[in-house]
Amino acid sequence: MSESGNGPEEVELDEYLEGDSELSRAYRQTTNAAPPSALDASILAAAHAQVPSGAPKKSRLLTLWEKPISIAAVMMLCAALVVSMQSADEVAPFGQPDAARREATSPAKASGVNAVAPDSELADSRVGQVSGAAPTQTAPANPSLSTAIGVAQTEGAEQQAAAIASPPSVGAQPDVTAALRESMADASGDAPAEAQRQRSAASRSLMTTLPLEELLSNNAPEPEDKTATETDELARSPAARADSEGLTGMSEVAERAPAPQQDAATERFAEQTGVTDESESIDEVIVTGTRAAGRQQDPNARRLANSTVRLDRQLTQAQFETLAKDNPQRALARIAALWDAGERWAAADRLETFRRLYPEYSERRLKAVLPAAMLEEN
Amino acid sequence: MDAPESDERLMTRYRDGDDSAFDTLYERHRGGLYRFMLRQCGSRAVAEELYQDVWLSVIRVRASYTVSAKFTTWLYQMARNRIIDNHRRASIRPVSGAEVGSDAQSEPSAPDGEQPDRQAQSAQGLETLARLVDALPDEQREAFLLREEAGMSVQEIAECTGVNNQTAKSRLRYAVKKLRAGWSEHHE
Repeated sequence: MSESGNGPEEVELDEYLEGDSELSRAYRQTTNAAPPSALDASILAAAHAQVPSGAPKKSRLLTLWEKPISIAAVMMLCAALVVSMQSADEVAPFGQPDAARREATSPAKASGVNAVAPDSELADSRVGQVSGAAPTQTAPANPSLSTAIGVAQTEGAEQQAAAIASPPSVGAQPDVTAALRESMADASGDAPAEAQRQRSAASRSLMTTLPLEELLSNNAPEPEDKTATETDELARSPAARADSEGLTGMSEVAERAPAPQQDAATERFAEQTGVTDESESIDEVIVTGTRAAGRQQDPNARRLANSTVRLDRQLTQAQFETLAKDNPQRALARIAALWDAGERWAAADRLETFRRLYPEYSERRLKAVLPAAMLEEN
Repeated sequence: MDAPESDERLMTRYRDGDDSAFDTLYERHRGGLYRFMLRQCGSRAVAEELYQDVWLSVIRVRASYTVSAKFTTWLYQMARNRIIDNHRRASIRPVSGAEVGSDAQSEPSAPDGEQPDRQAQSAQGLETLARLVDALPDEQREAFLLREEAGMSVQEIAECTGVNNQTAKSRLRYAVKKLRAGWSEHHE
């Protein structure tokens, strides 16, 4: 259909398109038809039904990203859960002393030590620990101390220091010395890794069971079970039996106790630290070992010295006085260790306390233990 | 005074869940679309059926609505497609002017001051105009109705009907020429 316009028609159309023409007004009057109200209602109802009332009005952006965000959130939660579970697995041994006890008990059984009653499981684990780690050594009269010291060398400094700081029960000194030697030698790499791991577990168990104050006191818990007592009796070394016979004093015990079996680790330890079997006491070992750590770059010996000093700083005045009253030589050794570690104010403070407790203690005897520079300054 | 919200904005709001926007949109286009379909269809019942179908289609596709064209063009395009489909199914005579004019007869009467013969003359003229619209060729009537009922420009009519601007303008020109000529004859 060919549709073309001419001049007057174009003008007529332009007038019409301008709006409000006579034709338009007339057409609008022809009808005012509108859809029935029922039809309106049904359409509006359908429109409202499509959008449920009360539903949150989401933006298009949120609608588009809703699913991806949900998936990402779920994945992040899963990842966080996995990480937390892994962390829990790593921390579990510290939070489960029972597991550590079981772990520490097994070598005792393997070494032939008699089984103990369940209620003395902790004490038994200490015995088994020493027996399993160093079968040729004598079982200590107070095995918990030697075990703790031995383990602390390879574990946390706080645990180690707590074990070393605890005054041993009477007669336990030689065993403590031997355990210290053993632990330092083990830390040098001679002890089997399994034995070290077992001692670590036992140490954790011990440390979570016994507070510092208890270790500092002379009332370390003894196994009450008869079987455990018999086991201890059988396992006691001549030195320990000598202790039980009433011999007190570290030096005397050290002299009377048979020298522990020398092995390569002990020899290396002696070479590195200068501590030998002829050393008179644990205090001497500590002081000598601490100074050796300062001279040499042995990380294990240095760690031992640092942990000892750290514990010394934590000791209250009353605790130090208790320690000094109980064992003057030990107290002087600790003072010397503090001084060597650079804690000069603390060392001077302790020395003043020591002198107040032992005014009759001669300077000559002090010089035998304490550094000369310290005595000059104080 | 704020400008009225555009049809596209209202439809977007409805798509996003604001059903009150649809109420406004429907109120804007209900009369024009209904009359357009009533003129283009053969019967009121069919017009109402198709009219409802068009609006339900708008409701159904709301979630995927994007502003790609003017809403009026989109709405009347859907209406036009349904009318064409309906014509294909059955050849139905377009609704007569008398049927459409029944609504005009129900309108309020003229003011009392007007003369009865003038009222009758006016009513007769409107009826004549309605008949002239019905008598237009389908394409020309469609162009005229889109202009009058939807307020479309020539370009929008072209877009809606799928022809170029010149064709749409030509259809509209012929429609206006015939209507004016027929109405002038009636007045004379």
